[in-house]
Amino acid sequence: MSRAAVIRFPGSNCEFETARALKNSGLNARIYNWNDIELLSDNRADAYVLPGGFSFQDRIRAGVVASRESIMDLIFEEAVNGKPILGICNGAQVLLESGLVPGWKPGSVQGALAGNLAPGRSGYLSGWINLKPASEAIERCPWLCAMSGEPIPVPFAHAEGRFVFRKEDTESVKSHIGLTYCEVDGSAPDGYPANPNGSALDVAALMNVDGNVLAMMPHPERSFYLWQVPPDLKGPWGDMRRNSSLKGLEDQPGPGAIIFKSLAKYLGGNNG
Amino acid sequence: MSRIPGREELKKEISSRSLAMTVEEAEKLAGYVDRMPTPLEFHLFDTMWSEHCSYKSSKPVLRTLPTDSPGVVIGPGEDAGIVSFCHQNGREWDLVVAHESHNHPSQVLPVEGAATGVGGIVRDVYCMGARVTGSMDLLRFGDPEGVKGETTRGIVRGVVEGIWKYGNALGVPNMGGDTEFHPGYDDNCLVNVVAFGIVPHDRIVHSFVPEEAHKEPYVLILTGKPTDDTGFGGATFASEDLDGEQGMGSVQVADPFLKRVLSEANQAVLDMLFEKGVKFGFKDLGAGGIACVTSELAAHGGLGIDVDLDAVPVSIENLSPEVIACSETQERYGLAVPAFVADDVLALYNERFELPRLFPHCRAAVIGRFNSKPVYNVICRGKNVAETPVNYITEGVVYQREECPVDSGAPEPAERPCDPSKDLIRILTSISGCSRKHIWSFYDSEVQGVTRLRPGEADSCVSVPVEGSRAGLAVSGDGNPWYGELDPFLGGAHAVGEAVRNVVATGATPICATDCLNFGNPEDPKAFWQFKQAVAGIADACCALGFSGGDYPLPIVSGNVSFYNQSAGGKAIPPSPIVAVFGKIHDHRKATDIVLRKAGNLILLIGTRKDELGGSLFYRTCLGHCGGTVPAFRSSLEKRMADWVLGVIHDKRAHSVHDISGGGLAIAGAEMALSSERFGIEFSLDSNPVTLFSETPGYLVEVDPRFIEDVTLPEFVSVAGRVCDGCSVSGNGWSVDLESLRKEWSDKLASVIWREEGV
Amino acid sequence: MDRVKVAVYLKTPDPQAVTALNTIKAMRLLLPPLKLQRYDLWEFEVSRGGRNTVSELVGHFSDIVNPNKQTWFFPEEDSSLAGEDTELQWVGIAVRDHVDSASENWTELLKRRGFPVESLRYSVLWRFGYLKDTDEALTKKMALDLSVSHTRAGGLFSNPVSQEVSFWI
Repeated sequence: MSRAAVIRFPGSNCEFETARALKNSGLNARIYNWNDIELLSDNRADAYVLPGGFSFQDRIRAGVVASRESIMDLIFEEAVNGKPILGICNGAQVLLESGLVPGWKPGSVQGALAGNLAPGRSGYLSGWINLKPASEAIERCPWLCAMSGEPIPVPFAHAEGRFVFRKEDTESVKSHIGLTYCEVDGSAPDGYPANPNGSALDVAALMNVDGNVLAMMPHPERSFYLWQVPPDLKGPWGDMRRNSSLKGLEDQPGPGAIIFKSLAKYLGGNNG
Repeated sequence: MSRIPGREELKKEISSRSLAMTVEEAEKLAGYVDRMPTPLEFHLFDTMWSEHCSYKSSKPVLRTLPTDSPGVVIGPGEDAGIVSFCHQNGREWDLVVAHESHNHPSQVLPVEGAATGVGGIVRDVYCMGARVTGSMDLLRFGDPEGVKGETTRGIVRGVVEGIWKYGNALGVPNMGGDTEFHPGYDDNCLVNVVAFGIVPHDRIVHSFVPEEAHKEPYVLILTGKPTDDTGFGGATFASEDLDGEQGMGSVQVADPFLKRVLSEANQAVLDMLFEKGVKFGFKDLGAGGIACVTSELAAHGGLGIDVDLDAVPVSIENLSPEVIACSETQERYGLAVPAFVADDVLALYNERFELPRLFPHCRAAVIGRFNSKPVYNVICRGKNVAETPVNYITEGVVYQREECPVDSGAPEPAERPCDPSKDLIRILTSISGCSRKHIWSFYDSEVQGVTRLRPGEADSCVSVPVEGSRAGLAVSGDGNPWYGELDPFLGGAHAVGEAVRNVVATGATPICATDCLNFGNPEDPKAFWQFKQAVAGIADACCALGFSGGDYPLPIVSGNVSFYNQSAGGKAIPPSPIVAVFGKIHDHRKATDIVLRKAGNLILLIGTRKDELGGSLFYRTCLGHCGGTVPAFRSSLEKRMADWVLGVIHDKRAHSVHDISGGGLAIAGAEMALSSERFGIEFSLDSNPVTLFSETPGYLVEVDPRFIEDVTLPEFVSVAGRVCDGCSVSGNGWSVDLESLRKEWSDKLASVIWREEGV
Repeated sequence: MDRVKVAVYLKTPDPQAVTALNTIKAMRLLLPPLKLQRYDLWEFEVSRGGRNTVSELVGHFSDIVNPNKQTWFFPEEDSSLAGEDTELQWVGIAVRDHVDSASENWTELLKRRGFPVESLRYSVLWRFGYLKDTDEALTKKMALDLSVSHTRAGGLFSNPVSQEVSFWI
């Protein structure tokens, strides 16, 4: 069975449900502490996930202190080796601050996840939004390879989720887009709230050059089951959820399960 | 040779140390130790005998609350209450619940006050050995558009910020709660917090040193944030009147980052201790800090303890012994373990979880040894700084307070003009009637991946907390200040009633309740009477609304009393009993929400409308009047309605359910339509204020039209209307398009409080 | 038009500064700062009233300054700031986002409430306390290096893609 390692930093708080989503997708998942470096080094995994939370309570800037932890040297090495690596929410912030994404020059900080820009409010914002994969990303990214191209609704919850790039990088970053925010019908968002944080190019998830590392702000592990979908959600997933409620069908997969299924598909293909 | 000090000497000590204790209490203390008490002893007993810790005014009244039911594992008395919840793979899982207030600190320092409120309540649940799976905030603020609007708006923003900055980082899903605005809270906001968690029955941890400590050496390990001087005198602060500058420096600084790391470290330590099969005691540090935790762990286990203050990790040099012992530095726990495992415990905290690297001076350390001589003995720099028979510390004091009835005598309005469309719009776009979504949008309600229904989607939030089990947990907290003001008895009864209805409306059977009783000065006979009335109301309602069969009540298993909620001028808050009810749904897939499903379905009304609009949203918003006749609490009807609704849900025949409370039937219908977007309701009822806006308890249930052919409706159920296409609500001679109202309804709070528009 | 700056700091140790200094220690720099202070820095552009306007405004909003937990003052650029250890040599770096909601929303809110505020910018001011006799140019360079995260191993206090820094000495 393929092995996935979930890396817990001091202050992570989504490690358990992330490990559960991996397990329920047919992977052998295990949580490692930030200081389990030797243990992990001796037992390299097939894929790594940096879960959501508030590593070091986002002090100084979300993700920056964790990006300096020694265990990130190992993640860095595995990323360069081409292993699938996913950062969710705070994990994505750590990947940006580590210079792994967009990663034209691994180790150089070339993008930022800045404070949300939303009309009339600042700080944390949570809710459900729709995401659509970039078509090249489905081919290149192990975390998106099972997606059909249809939009999926997934929850988000963050205060710093706005992707920012240097002006001169705007063109080159386009080929790194994994997922963009979209309207319920898949069309490009008309600003807030479909793009909930003012993210450049409506980016919700960004890949590195090779596509094996994905920094994703929304939380697929929180929409792993259909029963996690809100009953008042618009669109086909909402309809499915509403129609299933008296039929006991709600154990079926939710929209976010596809991220973990993609990995299972990718690793299954790789390992035979 | 003993020398008991005189009254004058004691008075001097009290005033120079800013103690809250009375001279009589100081005399009692001096008698216990048979000399002038040490500074540490003064501060320790000042905390233990504060209203906050000793319940000295409320204890005799609280005894009248029903606490016994077959599912109760631990009732009131420890840090949290525990009831049996579900069985999974041959293991019994219990639900741990706690409920507290953090009112005074939040008024002075909204961000930190609210944050430490969340911090304190989750510690109470953690220290029973549980994983915390949810929290909830029940907020009462002044009028944001009133004379003290500017202060109130700042407090609301600060409290919400404190809750999200702290709670979200902890990784505990926020299950909403409620928010009410009433000018009576202009000088005293209420921040009541609820936390709950789950624990396997065989892994419940107690907050006292175990019996085994009589036979083998036990030590006390203190873990967490290094002690500083924050929150010195906090428990006393919680029991004093508020006025402007008072309380500076008393409020603690919360650190959710440390708390999160500590929670995982604690879990690892508890795992290890259970694996080794040793018995231990575990308690969080709250009011009274090290002094309270060490003395209580020892006293409740019938032992004495020697505490060495020099061993306490501190972040500030040269603190006085009483500050080290009584400071309320956050994020600390005390653990009583056999001496032989102490090194293993320290290694987990200090090496595996690296506390010293993550925060300067943070570490676990052995700071005391239990012994069979029943004396509480504290040493600092080689000197004895406290030496007290241990049983006195927990003995407490009790006062019988006087009471004097208050007649609200409020009249009903002389006339009740009603234009249903206009009135409905007025209510939905008022501060009291608008959506609370903006507040929830700051909260993380989905961390842990266990949330089934989020705030606003149903009458209560529902989660699925035990991995592998389908058992759903529903939770709701309620309390209507307008009812409490007019009739504290009914305020208490309806707090229980509404929370029960909210839980029932999702298909969950209530299994236990908690209460937080917020009142004015108990030494004021009128305030004390209000308190007693409200408790009687809660007790009556709980006795009527037991769901465990037989005559068993709905048990109150934990709670808190908050007195002295009054301004410097002596103006008390409206009597504010706030109740949280917890319910269980056997299979969470049957849980119902408020989202309308299908045009053509019928809307059933459960609970005949009565002319009792006192305190209603209609009176307040549309007539500018409070009225006098609060809805009656009809205990047996309330129970029969709940049983009937639960039956319909369990038979999978209820498509959506919403309870009728604030704003009455018309508002309940509008809320169902607003959350379904595509559908609305056409009511086929009379268009008078009683039918549309009376807050007589009840429910609206959406069913298939065939339902009424299959089922004989009881006398309290009638057809009220049908589901129609389009987001609107209408009745005989009136109709409101809700789509055009949606923006104002959902944006009102943000506009007034966060953007200060139109103020 | 007057530009008025206000610096605000916590009366208790600031947990952000505690974690930041702790992280700096782990970087094993040759000459690390010995102390670190963190301030909220609010920069107002007011059309009349200067400091009086700003004093009044600060008194109105407990979210900007809550006197129960914070101290505020008008900082002078050429001296050590209130609450700082004068035995050290201090260098300040102000970090601010290129764009941020908080500044925009506060500007709107203050205008709406009738304060003569044209604009407002929020920054975080980090003050690094170095050994007294360290060369001034060197402390400036060290503080700047420490303040910009060009690489994963480099500085800490700002992300050069979304934030800008300026000296505050």
